[in-house]
Amino acid sequence: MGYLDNSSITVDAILTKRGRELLARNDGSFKVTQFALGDDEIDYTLFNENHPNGSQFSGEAIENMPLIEAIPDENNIMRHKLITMPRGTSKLATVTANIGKITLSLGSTTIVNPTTLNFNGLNNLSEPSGYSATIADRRLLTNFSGTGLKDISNAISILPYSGTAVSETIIGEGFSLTAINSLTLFGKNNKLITTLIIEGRDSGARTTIPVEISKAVVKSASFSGESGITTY
Amino acid sequence: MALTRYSDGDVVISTDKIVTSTWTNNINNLTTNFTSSRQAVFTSPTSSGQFYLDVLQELSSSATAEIQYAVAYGNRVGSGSPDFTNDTGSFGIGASRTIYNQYRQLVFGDETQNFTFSSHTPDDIYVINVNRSRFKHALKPGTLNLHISGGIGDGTALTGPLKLTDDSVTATGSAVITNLGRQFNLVSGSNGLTSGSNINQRGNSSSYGLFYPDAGIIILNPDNFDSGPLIPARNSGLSTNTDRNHVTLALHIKNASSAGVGNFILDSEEKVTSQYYFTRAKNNEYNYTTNPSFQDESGNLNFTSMIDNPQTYITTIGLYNDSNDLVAVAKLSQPVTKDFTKEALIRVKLDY
Repeated sequence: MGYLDNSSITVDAILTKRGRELLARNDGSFKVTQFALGDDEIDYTLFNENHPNGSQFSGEAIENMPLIEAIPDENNIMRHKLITMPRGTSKLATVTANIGKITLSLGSTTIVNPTTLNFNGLNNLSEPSGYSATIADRRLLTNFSGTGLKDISNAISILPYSGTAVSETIIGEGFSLTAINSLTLFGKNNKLITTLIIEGRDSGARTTIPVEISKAVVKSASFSGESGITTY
Repeated sequence: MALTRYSDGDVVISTDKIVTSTWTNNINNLTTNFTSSRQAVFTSPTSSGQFYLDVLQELSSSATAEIQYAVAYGNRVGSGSPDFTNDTGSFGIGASRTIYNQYRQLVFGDETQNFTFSSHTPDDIYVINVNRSRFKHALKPGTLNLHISGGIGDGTALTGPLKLTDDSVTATGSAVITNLGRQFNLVSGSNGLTSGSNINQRGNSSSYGLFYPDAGIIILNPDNFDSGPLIPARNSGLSTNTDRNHVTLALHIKNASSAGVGNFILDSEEKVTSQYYFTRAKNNEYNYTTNPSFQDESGNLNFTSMIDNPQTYITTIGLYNDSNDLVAVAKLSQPVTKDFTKEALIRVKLDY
């Protein structure tokens, strides 16, 4: 006689802010169709390969770790996803971008082109399915669109009014970001800060790029070949 | 690959009924009853107190006081409350008539039918209207135990409080369906069981009232209180009418067991629809991670033992839509180990 297998675990899910927003739209966009597993909170440096009691105890510190409750901000949870790779993989995919930090003045535009290293023979090339990019505060951009792929999805052109930051995710091979051209959101601040999270749609690897919008005023481009001229 | 699609059999919908006490803080028996001087205003014929009286579980000055139910009195010819306009052409049109017509319209859907309790049709009604936020989706038939002090009909002196319940258990759940949903009789008894074999407990002609669990409403037959202090005062019209029968009813509920101690037990029920997502991680899936502590900046695994036998730890389950939006998230209480020799089945429950 032994104990029954309790390998089926039941957990309660909560809606994210994005989930609530989609549910409120009532247009079918809320429907859950896929899942991912994450290991947020896990610090693998706690994995002790040289545990004195043997390799069975290598994960002792991690396995006994109590976990915090879920938080509803989709930008701050599921940051680290578990991925499926062939056994024997020694190098994991990493995503890099041509820009380490995005600094935009009012009304200026930049293009971000991510590439992936160590994925199915790709080295500093784009993933076949492209990338998803999530801007944490969509209010700071007048244009946020994908480039380069046939199935790119662009951000909505008309922003709903929001007193708080609202994220938005788009798909593309590269991404174009145009900063707002108004001072309304700045208040007494000289700059506004948010983040851009880029994730490989095939590899699951991701990188986070800080985005900074400065209060510098931009004049309209009046001659060919230039844009985003700033005056102080 | 980080995302896996759910197949048809992985998503199950289940609707469960949850029963709780109706009253604030899940109190089973509402023994304390207070009114608010801000609401119980009678300064003019159209003041809110002329129509209804809110009853709270604590002093209205308390920060945690909440409205539990309201009591009202309705009279189809307008007696028992002041006329709105005390003049020819407007006599008999006051709060009591408004209340009677309002509930008549709700229950019958027309202006010609009167409230009839078995075969008896009184001119008036008492109403107990449970606050919507308290009763959730519906009151639960068979849980009503309302005690009211004072005299009852047939000229019989009452030695104790009148103990009322609905007849849902006696009637084995069979109800009349009205515009307000199910309708049960209000009878003397307890826990949905009629005392005796006849619901017409007053002179074999009428019940004590009607119970509408789907609307949170109890309607009492005032003629069953025809020999005690709960006999409604039925003075007609005038701007000076101070009958206020619903105030009297509230007092008799408040003092049912003893001075200041009532007895009002009533449960409510709510249907919660849950969606279960059976999330399966097969042995050859999810054995690597994008966690930066798992690899160095070039993507090399930090632990040599992980190259042939990688080991990851599941802490979070993310639910996504077709656009890859993270719409819901669940956390485990402890990390679950995952490697090429283990499979995980996690049932994720999402309530609506």
